[in-house]
Amino acid sequence: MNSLWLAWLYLRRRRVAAGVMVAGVALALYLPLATHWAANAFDETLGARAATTPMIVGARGSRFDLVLHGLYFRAHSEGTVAHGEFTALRDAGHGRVIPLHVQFTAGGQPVVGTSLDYFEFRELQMARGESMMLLGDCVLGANAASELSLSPGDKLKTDRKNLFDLAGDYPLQLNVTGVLSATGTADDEGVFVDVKTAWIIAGHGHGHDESKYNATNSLSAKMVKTYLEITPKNMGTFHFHSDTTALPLTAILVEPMDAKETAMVLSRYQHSDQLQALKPPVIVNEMMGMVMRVRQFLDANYVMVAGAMGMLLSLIVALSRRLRSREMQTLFLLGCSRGTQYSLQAAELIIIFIAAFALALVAAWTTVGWARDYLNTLAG
Amino acid sequence: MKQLVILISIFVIGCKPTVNAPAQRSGKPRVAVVNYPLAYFVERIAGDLVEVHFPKIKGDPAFWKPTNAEVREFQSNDLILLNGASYAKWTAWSSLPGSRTINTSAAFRDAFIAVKADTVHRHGKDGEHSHTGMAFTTWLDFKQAQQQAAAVHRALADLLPTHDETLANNFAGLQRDLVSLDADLRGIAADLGDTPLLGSHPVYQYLSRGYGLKIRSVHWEPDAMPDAEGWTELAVLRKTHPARVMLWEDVPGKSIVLELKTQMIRSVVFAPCANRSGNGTDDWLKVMRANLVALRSAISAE
Repeated sequence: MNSLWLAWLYLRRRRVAAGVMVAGVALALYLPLATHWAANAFDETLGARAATTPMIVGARGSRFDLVLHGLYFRAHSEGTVAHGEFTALRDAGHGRVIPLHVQFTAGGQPVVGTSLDYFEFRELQMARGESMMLLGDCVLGANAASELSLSPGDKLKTDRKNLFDLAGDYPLQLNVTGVLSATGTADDEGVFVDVKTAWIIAGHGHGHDESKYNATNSLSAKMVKTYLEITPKNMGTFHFHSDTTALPLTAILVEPMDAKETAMVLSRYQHSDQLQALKPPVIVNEMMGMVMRVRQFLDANYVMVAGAMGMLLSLIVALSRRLRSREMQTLFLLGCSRGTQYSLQAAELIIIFIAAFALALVAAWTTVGWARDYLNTLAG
Repeated sequence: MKQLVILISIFVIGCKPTVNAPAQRSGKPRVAVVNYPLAYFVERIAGDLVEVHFPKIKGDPAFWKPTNAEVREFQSNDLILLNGASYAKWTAWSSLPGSRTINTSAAFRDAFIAVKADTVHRHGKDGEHSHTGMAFTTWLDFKQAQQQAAAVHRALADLLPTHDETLANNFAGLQRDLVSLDADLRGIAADLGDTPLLGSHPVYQYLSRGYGLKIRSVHWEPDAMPDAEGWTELAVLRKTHPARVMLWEDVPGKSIVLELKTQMIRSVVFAPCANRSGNGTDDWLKVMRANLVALRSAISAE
């Protein structure tokens, strides 16, 4: 106990040197701790999201892209699936089927075209306002609302994909009808609209603006306005130029009723050249397997860093003993045994390690806590 | 005292239900429908097991424009039954929960009849509308009505899994009635042969196709005397289609009937019955039977 007290007093006298030692050791401990915790948090987040999404149907292509697109809205979708496939799946009675159309953004947030079933499926609660009701209505995720500083009753324009494509898609002004409670998932980032609204943004449907400009000058609404707007006045004129069964979705979420229905859905697409049905929990496990392999490589790296750190510390201790040889000699002359001298130095190291470990723990915990929201969207 | 009043006011305002709050529920599953034929099918198949939500609509439910609160009311139902074939156009502009929404005519969507560009017109105080798109009085072909009833039965069976037997028995009864209507109408159609018929409004497309009836329509309303243009349209039509019977959605005005009579045209009410009947006593089946009786008596008189 005396050794610890004396070591503590010694370190207090040499704060800068002790601080540098603590910081160095803390950094060496922080990196593996933060990496492990971040990987675990990522695994948990991704796993939890995947576990609540039993199945995704979409265009054949990268399995990872399709699953990440269905779960996080951000990954690129390689192709589309006709809405008719959605109605066929729904009518087949395999279970709950939810359409997804995610191709556009509004204020940098993904515009998620879906149905009201999505809110029930994800158990999303309305924090303010109400769910979407008409064409052009949107519901914001908690983060999207705070980042865009929007509330129910406000307006939000979709982003243009290509500013220089004058004949291309026009921004659609959305009416914010509600804001969802925060869930700590990718849903917090979304701008949710009815899939029909998403099709209008994509240009598959349009209305006719009967403004006086058009009546007198025969001009298109696109020539007098820089964006499209769905109002009670022009809503009745909105229509789609093709059968809605032919219009595209970027993915379909399926919640089969039981294992038999799951097998039925899988077999439905087993031999399809265009479409695939995936189980997100399986795909995410596969992805996390790769992440874990990377982590193993990092772990090996950390072991080597720890070895180097240990050797460096040994060198520092040896050098400091040499620097403190006169001090040790004085202690010896005062009647302090060699053993006590060693215990004093061991106590100094123990204090440094405890302080460094505590610092590394706090730093890693803070980092992972801060990065958790980022990790939720990292998959995109 | 003033503070107490303010506190009570805040409490009362806070307790006031929101405008969009759904109506009081009976505890039974609620089934929303977009027209009376579907309401009738639900009532026949499920009886008291469900609460049918078919709002009181003035005019044709096909062109009904619900308020926001009425759309919310629809959204809140346990099952929403659509007619399909672009019926109830408001459903195309609204967000309805896909998993609880059933298109009862999906089984024969490939057989929908497209309506070419149509003039805009209005019924009484209703807003203007056009029939362009799909012909939507699907149930006037009773074979299609049987398919719609079957879709209603399937949806109700999913909603009420513990009442399988009751639903199946009631459905069998309804199907018997629909088969009987179909057989009777086929008999009438056989007697009619190639006799040309007139429709006062373009709502008889499926009736015409389903039973091989030679019906061509004008755009008249039962409660509005056609203008000169309307009579000219009829005269032109009769040159190639010399019909002596005109089918009406509702009882036409006496002056119209008399004017048609002078032109040797008999008026016969063949009501699609898309909305509940005005007197509230005649159900859909009674109205359909009355349609057939009226048509047969018109043939006999001819």
